[in-house]
Amino acid sequence: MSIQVNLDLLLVKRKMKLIELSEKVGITMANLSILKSGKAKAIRFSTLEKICRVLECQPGDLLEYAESCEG
Amino acid sequence: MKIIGEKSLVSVIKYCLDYIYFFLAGLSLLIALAFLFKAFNPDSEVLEFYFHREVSLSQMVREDQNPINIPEIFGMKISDIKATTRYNINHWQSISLAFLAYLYAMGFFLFVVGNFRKIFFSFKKSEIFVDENAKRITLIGYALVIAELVNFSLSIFFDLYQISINLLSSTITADFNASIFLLAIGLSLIVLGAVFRQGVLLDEEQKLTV
Repeated sequence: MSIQVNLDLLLVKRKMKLIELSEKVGITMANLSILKSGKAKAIRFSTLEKICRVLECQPGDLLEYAESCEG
Repeated sequence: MKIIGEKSLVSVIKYCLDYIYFFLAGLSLLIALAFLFKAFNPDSEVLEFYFHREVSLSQMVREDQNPINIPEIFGMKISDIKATTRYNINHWQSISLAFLAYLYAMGFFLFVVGNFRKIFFSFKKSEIFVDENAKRITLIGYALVIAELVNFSLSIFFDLYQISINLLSSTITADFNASIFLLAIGLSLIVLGAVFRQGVLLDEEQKLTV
């Protein structure tokens, strides 16, 4: 997929663990793992809003467009 | 009333399908054994089978080699009236043909009921939009369409109307009449299978939406 999720990078910068984010955002660990591993097919605005609020970042910091090899 | 899940309408239907499936499987085994017995003892009365054919009265008269003056009633010849005749031939060729006909009929019923059982079992577990269900529904649809086309071909080429077995003084009948209704159900099931596949994709997308 050409949209990359930089959640792991933001977690390292904020020195936060995934379980901590899960508790603060109110999203299950399973769903956050799907997002982190890049398996997610869509993200709700509400989820994006919560993650941005907790991590004090912009949606552009979390999501990045990269040219995929598949074309 | 609960429709899907444990202790629901779906579980009741599933138990009914289980009963029908195992009854059909047992019956198939019994018929297969009876045919085996009949193959070795052609004159025994344990198993008697008949081929039913639809013939016109004129054909019957000709077959009997007994020419009679066929009268006309309201402009319609009696010879045009269709009648059903039945044949009972104790010959290995007819025994084999009857066995193949039953193998086809029972195989078809077991396939359809077996697949419906699996579909209802997954409904009972509340697993509705899974790829297997889409495949099973499509397969049942194709099986119905193919069976109706085969029945239609049989009725054209062999004039085979019905076949019945007298097994241990009870009669079991397999009908080879092509039905437009079943053909329409088969085609609808193929469409439903494609709809289910769309459902599977939507369900997958929904599950992977964070």
